[in-house]
Amino acid sequence: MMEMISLAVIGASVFLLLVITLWKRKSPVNLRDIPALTRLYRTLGLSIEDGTRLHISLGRGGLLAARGGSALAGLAMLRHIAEQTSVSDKPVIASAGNPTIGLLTQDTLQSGYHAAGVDELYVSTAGRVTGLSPFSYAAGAMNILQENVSANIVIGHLGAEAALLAEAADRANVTLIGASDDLVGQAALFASSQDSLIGEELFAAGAYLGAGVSHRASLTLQDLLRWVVILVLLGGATAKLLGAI
Amino acid sequence: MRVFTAAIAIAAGVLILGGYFFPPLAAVQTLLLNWAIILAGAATLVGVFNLISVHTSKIRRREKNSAYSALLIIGLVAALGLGIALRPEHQIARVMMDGIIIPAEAALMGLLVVSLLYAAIRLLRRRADVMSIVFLITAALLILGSATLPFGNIPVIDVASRWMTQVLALGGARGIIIGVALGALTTGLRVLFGADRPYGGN
Amino acid sequence: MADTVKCPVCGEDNSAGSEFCQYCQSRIQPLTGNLRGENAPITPGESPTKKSTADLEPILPQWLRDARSSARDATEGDLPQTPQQPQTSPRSAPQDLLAGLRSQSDDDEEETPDWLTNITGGAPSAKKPKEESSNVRWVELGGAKDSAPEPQTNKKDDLNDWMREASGLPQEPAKSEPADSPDWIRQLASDDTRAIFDDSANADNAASDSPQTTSDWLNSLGVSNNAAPVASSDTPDWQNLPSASAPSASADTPDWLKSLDAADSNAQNTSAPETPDWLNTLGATNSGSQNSFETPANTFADAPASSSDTPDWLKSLDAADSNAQNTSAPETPDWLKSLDATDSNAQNTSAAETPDWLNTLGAPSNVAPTASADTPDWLKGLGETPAAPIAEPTPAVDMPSWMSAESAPAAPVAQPQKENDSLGDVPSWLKSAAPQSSIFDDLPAAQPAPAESVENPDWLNTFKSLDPAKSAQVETPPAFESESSADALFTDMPDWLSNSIETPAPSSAPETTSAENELEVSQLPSWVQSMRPVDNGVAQIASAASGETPLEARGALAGLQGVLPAAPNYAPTSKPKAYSLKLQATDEQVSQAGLLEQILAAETSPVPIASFSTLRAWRGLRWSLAFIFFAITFAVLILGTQIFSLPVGIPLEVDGALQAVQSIPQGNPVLVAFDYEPARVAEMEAAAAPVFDQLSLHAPRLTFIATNENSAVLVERFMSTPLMAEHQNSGLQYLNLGYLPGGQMGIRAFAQNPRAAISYDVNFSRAWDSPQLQGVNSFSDFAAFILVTDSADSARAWLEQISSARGAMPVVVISSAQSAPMIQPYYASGQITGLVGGLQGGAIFEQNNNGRPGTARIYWDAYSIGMLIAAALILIGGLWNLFAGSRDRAAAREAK
Repeated sequence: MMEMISLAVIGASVFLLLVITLWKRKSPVNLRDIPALTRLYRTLGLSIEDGTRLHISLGRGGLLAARGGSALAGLAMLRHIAEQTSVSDKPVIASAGNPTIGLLTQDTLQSGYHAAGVDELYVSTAGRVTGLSPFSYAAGAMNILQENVSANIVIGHLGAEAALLAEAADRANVTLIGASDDLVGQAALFASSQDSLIGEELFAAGAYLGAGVSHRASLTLQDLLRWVVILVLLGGATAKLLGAI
Repeated sequence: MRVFTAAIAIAAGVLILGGYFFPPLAAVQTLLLNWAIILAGAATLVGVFNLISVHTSKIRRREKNSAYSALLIIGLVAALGLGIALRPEHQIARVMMDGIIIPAEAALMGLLVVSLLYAAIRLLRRRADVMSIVFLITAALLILGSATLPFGNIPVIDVASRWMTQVLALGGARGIIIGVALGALTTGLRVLFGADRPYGGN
Repeated sequence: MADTVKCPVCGEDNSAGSEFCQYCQSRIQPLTGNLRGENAPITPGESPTKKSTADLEPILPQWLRDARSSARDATEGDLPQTPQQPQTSPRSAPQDLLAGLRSQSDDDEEETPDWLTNITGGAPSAKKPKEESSNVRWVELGGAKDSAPEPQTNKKDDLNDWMREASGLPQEPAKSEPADSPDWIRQLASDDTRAIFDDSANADNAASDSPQTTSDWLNSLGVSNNAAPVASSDTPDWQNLPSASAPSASADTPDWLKSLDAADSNAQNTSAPETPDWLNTLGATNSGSQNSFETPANTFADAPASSSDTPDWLKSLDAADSNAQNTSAPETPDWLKSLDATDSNAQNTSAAETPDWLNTLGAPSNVAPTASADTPDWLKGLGETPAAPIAEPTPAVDMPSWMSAESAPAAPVAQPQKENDSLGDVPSWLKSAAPQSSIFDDLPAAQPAPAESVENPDWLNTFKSLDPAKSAQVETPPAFESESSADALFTDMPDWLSNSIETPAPSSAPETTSAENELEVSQLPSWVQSMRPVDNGVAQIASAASGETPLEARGALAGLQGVLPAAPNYAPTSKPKAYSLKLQATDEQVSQAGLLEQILAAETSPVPIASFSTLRAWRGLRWSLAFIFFAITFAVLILGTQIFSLPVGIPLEVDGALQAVQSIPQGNPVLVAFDYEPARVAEMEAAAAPVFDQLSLHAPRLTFIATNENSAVLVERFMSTPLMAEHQNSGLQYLNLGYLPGGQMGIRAFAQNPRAAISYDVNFSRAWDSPQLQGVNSFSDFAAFILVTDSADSARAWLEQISSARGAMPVVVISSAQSAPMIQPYYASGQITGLVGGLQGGAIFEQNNNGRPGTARIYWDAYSIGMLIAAALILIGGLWNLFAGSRDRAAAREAK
């Protein structure tokens, strides 16, 4: 039964995603204001003007874990950041706490620079695996902030170690924009950074950076599915209250 | 080539997903998952070599704090060699764990305590809004609810803390997790159908 | 150098304040200002004041005076046949009137400076040089404007209408008029009979005065002495007839004018038989004198000729009336005779002095039945015109403007005509360069034209007002001095000059012509005033034109202003058509334009970027916090106090865990998954120790598996603790399968097929051959599953992946305090049997485990103190920063 429900949800999601993607192609972009993403967009321009570097922290979520979604969202954003900052003197540095994400980080950076026509900017050391444990990853990522980094974008699966990154950024006077799919990480970033993305806002970063219509379509699909979940929860609670279940 | 890689990725994803719902595809799913696990293990090695490459380049360029990079490389190579040569229950391995890894991470955890405390104190200086105030009050209540006094639990606080933890915080956390799950679902679907190709090819 | 000013014309130095060059009399100071005072435009209902504009020659530049003198001498020599011509020009009013109209219609004609107009002595303009500005210029242009660009047609229509109304003929009076009649004939025929007589009365002078530049229609009149007299084919026969009967006339003179000319000396006896008597009579009028004559009453009541402005030629006509009356009557054509019989009343009033034909005009009502076939239609029309409307006494002030300007133009015509002859070849620029204001500044107080009081002829009296007695007493002074006959140089007076001298007769009071150079300031001649525009309507045009009067900067006109029109022949005759400035666009275009504006506004409008304040790091606070926190906790740990009580009570999840552990049968395989980070070793071991202590009491066969890279080593570390070492010494055995790669996928694979997922332990021994895994072929073969994790995600992964494979196997989760709340729902939903979360859970479990091993108790005081300190710091520090932040933000706002 659960498998069938899961299959139905996935099938409906696929269908809606395709439809909404086709629909979004002709509709204007209309996104609500998210201060953290606004600041992120501004940070990109400032880093280019300053000739400084951006550090993208993709966390330790792996493709084979449940937190692979945040890692994929971080990779999509990394791709567009690489394109947009390809004119900068300092290429972007991306760090990951998972070896598979580390590999994809390098591949993504190479693809982004290739799309921007600056293949020479890619260096293999731009995508790094700084540690396999949360704190080892955080310790390695904190060290990157010393490489003329003006902004640290934390997006992915990070726990409490995100507070260490935030503290390091604070001490190095580096702008920190945090987003995590982990509740502990969100709490740590909420308290430590100026702007943080809560919950599913992490998955909206690509749409706000102009990653493509599919990202906007996925946002719309999330809203639709959220309403479905809300209705199901309310309906289930009501049925439970009435004793139907 | 790009189309070929995309086709492989999409096919693998569909097969693994189908294996959850269709038993005939379970064997294929298992096979592909085993391959993925092997590749993930190999990726760990690639990550290790990447780490070595990064810090080697730092040493070569004589960057600032390159001595730490050298120390890192030395420790990594030593742990790798000893880990391969020795068993985990070996005394040297235990020393490495108890003497290096655990204290180091425990120290970071201790620093994390200070960092979070510092961040909580400065939160209202940075962002004085209702959410921040609620955040701090909730944190304080939960902390107090975890502690006891010499004569026992803190009256009212323990009950309130438990109620907040089990009801408010948990309800909010579930909502956040559902949202994150929906985001992960849509992101996975984008990757599954090739709209996003983090594996390159675009 | 500052005291002198160089004349832009002659280059001589003059004093700085000089307005005119003392050498060449050229204007140095530009003309500015508007017309004021007397020079202001007259308003409707205002009668022009009479001024004499003669005696201007002395103030002319020397070269002009020389030219005039030489021309005068030459004229006297060249025209011996007309030495006795009166000083008044024979150019009749109709000529001037029409010539003026004609000239006004000429687009290429330049405006005439007033000084040049006044040279003629006929109509001195009283304009002040300082007032020579827009309005003066307007006067110059206004003449053209009033009738331009089609003055003849308009005038004709106006005259026709007027006469039609005056004669009581609503119908077209010129219906029978030849279609090819010249305009002036039409006008004469239809409008102004007086003009005809003026013309004929002055025909003796016309032979020598015709300007060479006179147009064809004037040539056809034979008014030019030099021009070949061309009898226009359009000329009616009655005009051509006199030409044959004028033996004394010059060859260039039209015959009919010759006849008129001959009549001057021979009176009616020399008139040709064919010549109409009335023409002969007119020709004879000049032989007498140019004295005054009586204006026929009730004829042109509104004519200025009836006033004191009666020109000289009218006076001459008056003088001739007595002689002509008897001689012309017998030869009066029938049609004139018939006209004569039309108005008995008129004859009664002026029969003695009025020619017969004029008498007939007085009785138009009787003309029609007796009109002969030779009678021109226009005369018929006149004859049919009732006298009463014509004789309607109309004050001069009520006269139409055109009438005030043209009703008495005859007298001053001669002089301008002669001057025009002399100036006809003068280039326009020279005319313009001549000084203007000096003339007016030096206007003589006395009027130049001495006029003798005359009696108007009867026929003129018929045109006078209803008050014949009053009108008869009016004496008409000469318009200008009798010097024009010698001004052959000015015989080619252009039309504009002719137009400008369409002056009314001077006032009745004879005014002595003064030789002084000065004219009376601010007194305009009546004819100039009559030319001036009425005040309404045109003032705007004048003012508009005044703003563009250029000041000539170089050349002969340097220093003069307004002598050349800025826009030649520009005379706005009507209000310019108003074009709407509103853009004509469709709704779609408007909407698209609006959209474009929005886009542009969005592009150009600055997007406010929120200023992101960065909070400076406060290292001191960080160090202070670290010191306080660690010092107290370390102190408590070192002291080993047990002041704080352990948590009271046992939660359900802990109790469930306790019950689950206690229910594990002896010697059964138990799977234990370690998945936590080395950083949380202390917490996790403190929470797990009482559970494993209880578990060890049941001699389980423990199998450890790690889903974390470090967990395999942590398993060994945990099993090497004193508590677990004690149990191992008691016979506890365990198997460490090591690290299970693949994360969630690995867990799933292990749950589905443990033997396939992992084959060897950490010592590279075959795991499934070990005694701990005896009898275990699947995941459900384990008696219990204990998950030790610090991550809710890991717990969820395990619980989700083993859900289908676990069966009824109890699951106990030992988690960190951080992840315990997230795992709590699994206990509430029954997916796990028990949960021990963090040090608190371990302390509770420990209390229910007889206080063993006591690890939680060791840490609990430090833990509680640390928590209380943290909560206090958060609350106190938060409040302090809240107020400090508010203060800083308020200060920042005040600073802004």
